[in-house]
Amino acid sequence: MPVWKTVPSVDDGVKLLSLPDSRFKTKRAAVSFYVPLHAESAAAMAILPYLLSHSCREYPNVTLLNERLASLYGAKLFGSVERLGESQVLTISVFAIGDEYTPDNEPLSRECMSLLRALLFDPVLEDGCFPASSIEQEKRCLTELIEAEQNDKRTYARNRCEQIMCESEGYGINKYGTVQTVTALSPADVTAAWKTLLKTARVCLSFLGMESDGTLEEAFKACGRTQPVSCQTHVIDKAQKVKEVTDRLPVNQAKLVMGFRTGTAEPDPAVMATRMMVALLGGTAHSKFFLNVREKLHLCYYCSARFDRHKGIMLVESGIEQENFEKAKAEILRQIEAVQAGDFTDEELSATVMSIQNSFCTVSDRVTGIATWYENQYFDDTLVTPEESADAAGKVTREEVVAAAKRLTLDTIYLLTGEEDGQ
Amino acid sequence: MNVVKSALLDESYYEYDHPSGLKILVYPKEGYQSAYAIFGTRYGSIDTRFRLKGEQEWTVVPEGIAHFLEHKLFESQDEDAFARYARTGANANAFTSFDRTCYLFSCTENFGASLEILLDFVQSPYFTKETVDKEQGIIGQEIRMYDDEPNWRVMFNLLTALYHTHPVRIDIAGTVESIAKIDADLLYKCYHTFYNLNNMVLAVAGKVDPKEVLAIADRVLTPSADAVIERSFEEEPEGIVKDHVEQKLSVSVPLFMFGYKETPKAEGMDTQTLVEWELLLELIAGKTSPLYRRLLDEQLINESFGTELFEGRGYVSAMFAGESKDPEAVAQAVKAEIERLKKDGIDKDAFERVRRERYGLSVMAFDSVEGIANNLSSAHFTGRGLFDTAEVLSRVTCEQVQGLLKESLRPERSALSTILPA
Repeated sequence: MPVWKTVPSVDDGVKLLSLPDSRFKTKRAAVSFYVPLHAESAAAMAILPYLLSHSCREYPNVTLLNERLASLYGAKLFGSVERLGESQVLTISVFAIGDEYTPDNEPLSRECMSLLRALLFDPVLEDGCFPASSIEQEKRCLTELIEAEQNDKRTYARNRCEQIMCESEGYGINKYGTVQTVTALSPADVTAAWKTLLKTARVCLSFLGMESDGTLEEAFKACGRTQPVSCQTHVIDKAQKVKEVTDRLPVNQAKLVMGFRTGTAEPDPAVMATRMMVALLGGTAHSKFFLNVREKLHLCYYCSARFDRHKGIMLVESGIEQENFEKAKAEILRQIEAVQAGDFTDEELSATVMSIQNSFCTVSDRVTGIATWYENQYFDDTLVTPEESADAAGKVTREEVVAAAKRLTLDTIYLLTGEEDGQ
Repeated sequence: MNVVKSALLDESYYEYDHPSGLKILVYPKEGYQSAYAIFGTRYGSIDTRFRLKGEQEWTVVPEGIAHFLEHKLFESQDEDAFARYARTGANANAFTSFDRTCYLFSCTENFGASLEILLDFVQSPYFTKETVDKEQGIIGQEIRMYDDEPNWRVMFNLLTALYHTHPVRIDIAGTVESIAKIDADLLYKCYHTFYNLNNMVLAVAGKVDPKEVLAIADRVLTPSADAVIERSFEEEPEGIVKDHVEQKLSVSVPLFMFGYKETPKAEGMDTQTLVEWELLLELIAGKTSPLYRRLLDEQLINESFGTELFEGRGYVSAMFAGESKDPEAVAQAVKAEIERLKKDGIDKDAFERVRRERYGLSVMAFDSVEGIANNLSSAHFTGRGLFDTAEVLSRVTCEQVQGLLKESLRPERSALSTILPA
């Protein structure tokens, strides 16, 4: 069973995760940085995983770097920005096939670790600063990435609901920053953010199917780390009054998103019951929402619920005809009331438990799945395996599910709909 | 039961011709906790005109009926399939593409019971006027959802620009108008034609015992009479319909897809040709190509840029897609780079790099049970061996790819589809 390890002679902000899984032909090494999601720093931090994964001193442009990756038998390099509670998670990961699958048993894993070190600690610098041309390129791409969030209306509506619901909380800040804050970045800003990141961020060094050769640990030892930054997620247990916002865009289908406070978040042990309650409502093809909003009333193709266990928020989403807004909203609330009243069968509950257990245990069979399962537990002291979570899910009682449903308070009703002339 | 092995990849699976007519492929993966099963038929949105050998008349069906049938098959007289899966804990789904319809589940427990449900419900059609009417509303919303998805629209618009008659030009789900013409009789007609076990495959990968799969198949499968399905496609002209197609949607960055129409072979595409195509597209516009770098530096593309070889029964096109402030300039640059490569030839070192790259990716494909089961079913339908890609990659030559380039990607057969901000 995996445990967190710390790196000797580096502060406790640098954790090591070693997953010696021999089943996969693909091996993975990743470095994740966890920093608080702040409006002032989000853009400068968000640009880093992209900037750093596109070149380094040894391979000073994206073509040379990509040529290097191709010659490492299609090694894949990804920079990504995620959100975990109210932390911004910046990750650079590299995937390569096992050495034994190359014709000459080439040391691909070792090369990957050394490449990760070079990307993070030895980038191209001009007079100690990232080159202006690289910064401009990355600013443009990040701006386009932010703008493209609007292209996928489902994601867009979800983001808008979160923004409105959490407008004065870290959670409401876009993990990429905004077009304005990205545009305002200078090479000096980004360089400063990079130094801050290496020295003060909380760090996870994660190895799957390969053993660390110590390269990355050494680099963190040598980089002059100071006190690691504190990452807290502020949880609001109850909504005060319901916010209602409607946006209009030229769309065919309206998107309804309803945001609820769940009154529980990690590390509260009641989180598992909330997970179960959310899945019972809208996590499966036999859930309350699916069977009623879709199958019985035929109002939509999808109506689902998701739970952020770090922030203690549930979002219910559905794609509907604009004129069905009241009907869909009423039915969603009616189903929540049903669960609050204990109006669900033991079969429904056990089906939900099995479905959740299935989704937990399936994670183990995926390279990225199992690695991120553990990386997302960065702020927890002990690591829980998918099987342990499945066991815990099996112990949740009907009463706990009802209690979890009773803790729900509606915070925000968001509707994205077509323009008024009926376009 | 036949064992299919790859010494190169150190992988193997079992292949079985079940007396019911069904091809069964089982791929155990040691150490895995989950199993993934996919039960598919060679029947998709393009099969709009067909008959069984011996029938006089062609049956012509409304657009979107294969997808509609997929939705309806989950229902039965007493209990729908999702309700049955609810008791096993399996995560079930289905999809319809241009040329196949597949039903699938993944599970960690109760594999046998879930497999039994899968084989049983797909063999038990139950359609009535009421259930058909109900689905019009749900699928109507699915169609409306796709109407707002620019990545989906940009591709279908391109297909209408490239293809005159081939039904690949129609939306997989059809239109609100076309699905209104679907009734229970038509669904039965399609079902009894295409859901013949001789036209289907079952592929299972992961934590699975081949003996258990066969025992369940013996118990649950009802043998199908051997039948030959004839499909009729109107003659598709060589040329394209139009070289530009444009739509306005609520997007902030324009999207584009630039494609070349190629000539398909009657017998379909073999692995050698597919590998050559993938290498060629990578050489033209992959992340190591000079073109990719130039487009990036000229601020014409971002990380969303990519290439795809899109091929199936009766269609092949090569596509370049992404987001750009100036799609026209990207299309011109792609065209120019292709002409340059035709003239100057492919760089040997570049070829060697992409060959290695593709080899690594072909190895990585054997980690995911979902990927394996999907690839197994595709391999069965296309006739391309599951392990052939890696084998071909170890011997394909630069000259072969050069040869493919010479005879394909003709500028007069290209079209640009764009989605612009409304």
